[in-house]
Amino acid sequence: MKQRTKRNVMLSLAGMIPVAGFCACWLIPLCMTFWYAFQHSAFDLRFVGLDNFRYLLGNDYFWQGMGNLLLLGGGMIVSALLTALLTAPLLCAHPRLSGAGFAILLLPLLIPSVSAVKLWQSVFDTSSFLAPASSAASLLTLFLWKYAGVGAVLLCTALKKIPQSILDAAALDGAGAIRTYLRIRLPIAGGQLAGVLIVLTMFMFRVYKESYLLFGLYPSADVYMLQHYMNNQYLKMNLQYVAAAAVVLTAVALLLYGAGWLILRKGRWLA
Amino acid sequence: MKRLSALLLTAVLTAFALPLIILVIASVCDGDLIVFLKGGQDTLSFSTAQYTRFFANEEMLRRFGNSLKITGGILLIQLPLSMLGGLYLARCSWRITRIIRFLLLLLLLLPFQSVMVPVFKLARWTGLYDRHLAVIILQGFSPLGMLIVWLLISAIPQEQWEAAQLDCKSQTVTFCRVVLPQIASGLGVLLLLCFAEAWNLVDAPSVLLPDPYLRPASMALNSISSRDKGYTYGDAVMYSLPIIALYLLIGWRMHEAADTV
Repeated sequence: MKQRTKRNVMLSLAGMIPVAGFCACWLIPLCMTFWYAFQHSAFDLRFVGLDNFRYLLGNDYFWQGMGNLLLLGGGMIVSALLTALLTAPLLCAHPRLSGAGFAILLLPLLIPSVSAVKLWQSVFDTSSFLAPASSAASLLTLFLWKYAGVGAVLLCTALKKIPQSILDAAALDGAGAIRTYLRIRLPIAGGQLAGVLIVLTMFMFRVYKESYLLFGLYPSADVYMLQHYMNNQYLKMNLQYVAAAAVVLTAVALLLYGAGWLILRKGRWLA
Repeated sequence: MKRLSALLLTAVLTAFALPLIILVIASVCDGDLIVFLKGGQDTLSFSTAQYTRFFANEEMLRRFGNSLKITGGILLIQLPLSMLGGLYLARCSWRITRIIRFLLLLLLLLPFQSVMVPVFKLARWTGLYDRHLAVIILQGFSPLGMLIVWLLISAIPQEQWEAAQLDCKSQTVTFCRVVLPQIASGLGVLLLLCFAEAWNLVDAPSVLLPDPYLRPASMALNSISSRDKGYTYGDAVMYSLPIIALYLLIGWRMHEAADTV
């Protein structure tokens, strides 16, 4: 018993190295963001209460960025989820194709965005003065290509875990393939579906990378997202506004993930 | 019905594979394949000029060197520390480790912009600003690796652990002889994902590396190519090659990892 405790202590001490690095590089900066959001500036540390947030709430570009983030992001998540919902049962129905299918669907996630963007820029002829519909379409299709496949693979692995006996019983009761999928398989895999939703939301918050590579720092108004606003304020060294916007972005992200988490728990309970 | 669904699946998979196929074909054309397909060009011929131009472009090669340096540095820090951290999170089921797991997940889910300002301030404060080391250290401690190793080790049954601890003298021996062989395929996937993340960095270098000559190709490829004359799909293919090669070697195990997750 003593030896085991000693082993755990040694492991904890060793494990503390990466955890301390994580805290120094990521966790403490996150806490500092909240602190900077209430200061006069990042170089003049005077407490100003909610002044920075008041400035943001009165700024049209902030609202435009926030609106686009939610609207475009919502569109991306919904379309990627629909693609995953359509592709996953097809993959499950054809086990011989699923190996190659998984490989093809996962590869876009790994391909560097800068390489993919080359093609998208040529196809959609992107520039800052691009027609809004085309710019939104280029970003949406790029998101679908890169990330919808991951959703499909995750959902397919969840669907494969459903016991065959349940599906056989449904077939005996006369349920067709579509009805079985909608009424039996999806409710059982509800928890994993929420997991896919959370993963897609994570990718949606990171889509700024693709947007930056596609359109640069100053895209057309329709794809101008909150992250563009933050980056532009950063370039002007208005770090207090960047921090305040980061707090708002974090709050929105936590709200969305919280909702996903609740659905996940409900889904597991249903299953 | 079965035939229709097979057709549908083939169509979906073709749609996912098509951009890459087009990119590769466009990289060996003398002219712009996309413009040709749109009807804006009459003829198109085979040529390796794009690749010749790539190898002759010193600026491009320098950015590739930056990418290699940054990615190599990140992997050197991230892989061993992820194993250490993942083992700690999986084996020490204390309250503090549960809190750490939650925080790791939280920071993984949040966008980089959430920590952008303090990261910039800390980098300036430590004298790492505008140096590759700033990006390497930041990404080296990113939560992705630790979470993957934690998930992989958690999948090992408790009974096996107890039996191994009775037989082996230390945690290191247990880890090397019992755990490593079981999570080897998962570690391959970890390598692939960490490599892909580091090879594809945009957010962190844009804040920490203001000097354009220090930036990796994942950021600079576009700006260099647009300044060049001619079509530069070859650059894009060359930049994707390392990740495609790694994927062909170990990527087929990714769906097993997805299954574990």
